[in-house]
Amino acid sequence: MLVVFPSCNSDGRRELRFGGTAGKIVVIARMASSHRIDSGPAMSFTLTQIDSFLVDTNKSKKAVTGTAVPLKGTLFDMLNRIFQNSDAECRHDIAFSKSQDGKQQNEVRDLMIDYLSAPSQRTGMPLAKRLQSVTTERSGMGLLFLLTGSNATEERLVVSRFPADSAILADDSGGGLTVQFLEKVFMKSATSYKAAVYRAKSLSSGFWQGRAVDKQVNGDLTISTYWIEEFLNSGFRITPAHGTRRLATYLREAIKAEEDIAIKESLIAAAQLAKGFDGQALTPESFCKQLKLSKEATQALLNRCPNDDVKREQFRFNVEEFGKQLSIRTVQLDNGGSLTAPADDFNRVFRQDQVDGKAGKVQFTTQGVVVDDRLRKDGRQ
Amino acid sequence: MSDIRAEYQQRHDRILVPLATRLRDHIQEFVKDVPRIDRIAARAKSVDRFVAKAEKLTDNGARKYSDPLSQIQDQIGARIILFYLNDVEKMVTLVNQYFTSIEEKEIVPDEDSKFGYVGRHFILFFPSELFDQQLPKDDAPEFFELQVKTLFQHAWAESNHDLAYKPDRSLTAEELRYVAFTAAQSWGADRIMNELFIKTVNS
Repeated sequence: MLVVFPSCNSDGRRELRFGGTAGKIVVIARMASSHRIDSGPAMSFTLTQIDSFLVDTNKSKKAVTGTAVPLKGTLFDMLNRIFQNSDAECRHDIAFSKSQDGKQQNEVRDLMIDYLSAPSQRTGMPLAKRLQSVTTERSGMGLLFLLTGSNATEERLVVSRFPADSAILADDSGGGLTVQFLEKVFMKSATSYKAAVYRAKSLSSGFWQGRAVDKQVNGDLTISTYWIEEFLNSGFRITPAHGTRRLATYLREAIKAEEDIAIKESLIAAAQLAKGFDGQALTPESFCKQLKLSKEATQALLNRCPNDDVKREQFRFNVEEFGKQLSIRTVQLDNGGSLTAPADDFNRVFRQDQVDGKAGKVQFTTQGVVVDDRLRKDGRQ
Repeated sequence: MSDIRAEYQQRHDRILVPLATRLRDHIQEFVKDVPRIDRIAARAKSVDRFVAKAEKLTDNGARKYSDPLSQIQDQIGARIILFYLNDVEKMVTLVNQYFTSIEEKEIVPDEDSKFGYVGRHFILFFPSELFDQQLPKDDAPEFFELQVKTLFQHAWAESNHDLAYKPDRSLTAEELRYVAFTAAQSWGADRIMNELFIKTVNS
């Protein structure tokens, strides 16, 4: 494959030259304005090496080809923005998996350490080959970039993959219009790449955790198993049970402490709806957002989180674990009445007695000060 | 090495000691419903022990750790001591359910006919909820070591560590046999107590 565009032009096209004899590859930088970053404090890492590899699917049996990217020019500017902004863009906290026999070893981490120890086409190639070995027809051809650099104390590695697309090039520079079909176009846009960033002080003991993003799937919190598990041999940094338990605990504490009855009801309703998230990636922040909790209810929950990391740390919601930590019990009676309270508090709040001589008939009693009394119509408050 | 001592001393006092307390409370919360736990402990590695480990050499005389503050992973060690062997696997399952590890190993003697140290060891990420403004994450190590042991495994390991690792002299051949004998006794006691426990529960 050969890149055909001879030089960088004003719309951001820039050539990359790979080994091979035919074909066309274009990289187009098209960053959404919301994803532009400013230079300044965030630029504290210096990007010192960029290697790129054309990665086909595992069925293609094609040899992976690669090229080093010069550290100047428009393509460098685009990749440098990705490199500098990677901490902010990559939102999923991930960690490498240990080996099958429990040892502190991960084959992908090993490949990254090899690359970081002496960044080059040679040391980057095994990572590209691994990506090709897990790339199915569905994921298709992609362009892999390895970006590495450091600041005074840390090394950083950004791994990014752009999927191949097709496009039509319209050129009116010769007085008339010519159109040309481009079969391999790689676009860096807000919705079309995957990336992962790792940073650590020590190559030997660090680089066990990183952050990842998948802009090719819908929703900020979704990430393909192809990228995280199959290629990076990683998983979320916290387990489903841990993340779910933490969310349930904060929610339970918030419900218990909340004095405003509307906020309390809103949080109870959120707990009741939570089972719908089973298996989904969540954070405490996204939980509030997806359930459209009010600002006050959101604050009541998020104030329980001890730091911002906890508010934003992803985990896969586990409905069973949530039920163990927090369940809301609602009893409906055949007279039209219903009673609702957190399950572990229900029997304290409501006393239940059998009614003599009436099979299945019960009487509930409770005492308290009325703090709110509202008429609610369906769909409105 | 004096720089390492000073740096670690500062980290020890400012970060590790309060972090160990938080970690112990955190683990206690996670296992509060589990029966037959003798105790849960967490400690910051002492400055002397850290420096001694940092100074270790490899077989060819080079320093084992080029960056001990980043590389030594048991700066905080936690331990869960259980009554019976039967409960160890259940606890291991629970640990894997709620913590993310980069290492998990069952330590047993090298040969089947030998007796010695036994235990389950994990290297785990610190849970992020342990950190706040008073205890910032950036100043703390990434990992801690967790050991899961029975009472007998723990008792033998503590005595063995105290007696067998003296800097001024090595144990004699007979003393080493004493140590192996006590390890075998602990191993046997663990099994018999466990059998009694299982019989008692099932009867």
